[in-house]
Amino acid sequence: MIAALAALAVRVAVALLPGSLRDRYREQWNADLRDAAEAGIRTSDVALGSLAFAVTLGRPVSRGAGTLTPVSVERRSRFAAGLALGSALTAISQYASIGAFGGLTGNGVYDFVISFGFALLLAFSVLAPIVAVAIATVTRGVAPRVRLAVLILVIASCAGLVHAVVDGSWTGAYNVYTTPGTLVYPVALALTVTAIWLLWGAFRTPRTRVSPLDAVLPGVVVLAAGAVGLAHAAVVWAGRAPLEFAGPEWGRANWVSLEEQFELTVNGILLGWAIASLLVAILVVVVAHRVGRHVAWVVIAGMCALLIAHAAVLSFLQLGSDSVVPLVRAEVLLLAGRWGLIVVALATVGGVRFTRQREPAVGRIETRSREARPPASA
Amino acid sequence: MEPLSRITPATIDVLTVLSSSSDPCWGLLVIKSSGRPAGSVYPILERLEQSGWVTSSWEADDARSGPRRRYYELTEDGAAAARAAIGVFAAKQRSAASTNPITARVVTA
Repeated sequence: MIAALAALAVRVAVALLPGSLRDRYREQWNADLRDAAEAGIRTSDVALGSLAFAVTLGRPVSRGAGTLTPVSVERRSRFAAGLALGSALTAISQYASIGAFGGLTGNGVYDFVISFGFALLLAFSVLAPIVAVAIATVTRGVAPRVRLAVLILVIASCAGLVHAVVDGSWTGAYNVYTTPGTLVYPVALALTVTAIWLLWGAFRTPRTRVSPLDAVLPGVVVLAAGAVGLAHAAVVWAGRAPLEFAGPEWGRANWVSLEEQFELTVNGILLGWAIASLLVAILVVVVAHRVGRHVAWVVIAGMCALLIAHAAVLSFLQLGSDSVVPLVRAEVLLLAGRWGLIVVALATVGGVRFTRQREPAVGRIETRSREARPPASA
Repeated sequence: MEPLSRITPATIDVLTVLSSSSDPCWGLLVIKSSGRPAGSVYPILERLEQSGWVTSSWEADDARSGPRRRYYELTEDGAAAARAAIGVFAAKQRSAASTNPITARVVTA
């Protein structure tokens, strides 16, 4: 098992290297893996060493004919990273959709919006990782840490698929939120955080910090939104009509017991969501303070996270409800939140401009002069 | 041969291993003998090779099938520069030890 993992790590490390070095180090590291025991070294050390080498290797960009300028390479690197990040966030947010309604309501507008939105989301989830890997692999000069981050994000973006495969044959679950397959989501989240750490500072984005006071305001806005969502969830739960149980007395007793347990769970969920809202608000303040002019995107990202959380809580609170409309509303919130996160990932990390910016007459000259500058050290 | 932009203690350890070997040295043995992790030694060897301090070649042992081992040795200029770098590093260590009584006790212990 360890030998297979070590061999896989070496293959990844080789893939991260520039093309001119791959054949040499593939053979060298495979020989080292094979003979590691003879030298008294663990294969895992060789594997980690190869990965460290691939990630830290300096990769000068050739400026010969037909090669890309550093600015073009960075643009492509950012786009690949933005696509991969959007895909990973989409996969992680799939956890919030577990209890969501997935059928047709009979209302044409609702059905069209939900079906079309989720079809596009599915298409993005499949195509974005493929395009991201293709760009990061084919483009010469992409920094190894960016390539590694893209690879990690693509692995994280498989969370939904892994969940479906693992739970496809699982029959022992009572609570669909805590099946073995759902363990993949915290793993995907950890991978995504690791990738963001790798990407942090990898690009030459000029960052102007805002004052702590200016950073607090977005946090307060997000916290207020969280409070509104929490209050709405509490109202929804309190106003939920008790489900009727038609059957024998012992069945009614069991149902009441189940309802009481559910009440406790709900209280825990509402408390958890209040804490989560506070954490998101704090995160917004910290990130807003550091990224400066992108503060609007930070607020949007926080709002989208809360939308998804709100939709997940609403879906859970209305499990077993006879009414379809509230669940459909939760689906719409989920769609908005998930697409919002994709847009934020593409706009910030991906460098995609969704708003039209007026280019001054000297814009081209400025761009050219920027290209002439040597790349700043990460 | 180009001078190295920085010479770390790990670089000195690798240079020491290569200097003490009269024959080309297998990469894994450099890792083993230097006591440094592979994640440090592989990049150092690459940097030394790029700077012309070290050359590397595939093993010529036909008896072993499969992928070949990579062997490293100092170039003529690299060997001289390595001796100088090791000497300078040792002198710095002695100097630091003499000015710091705590380090001095450790060194003399």
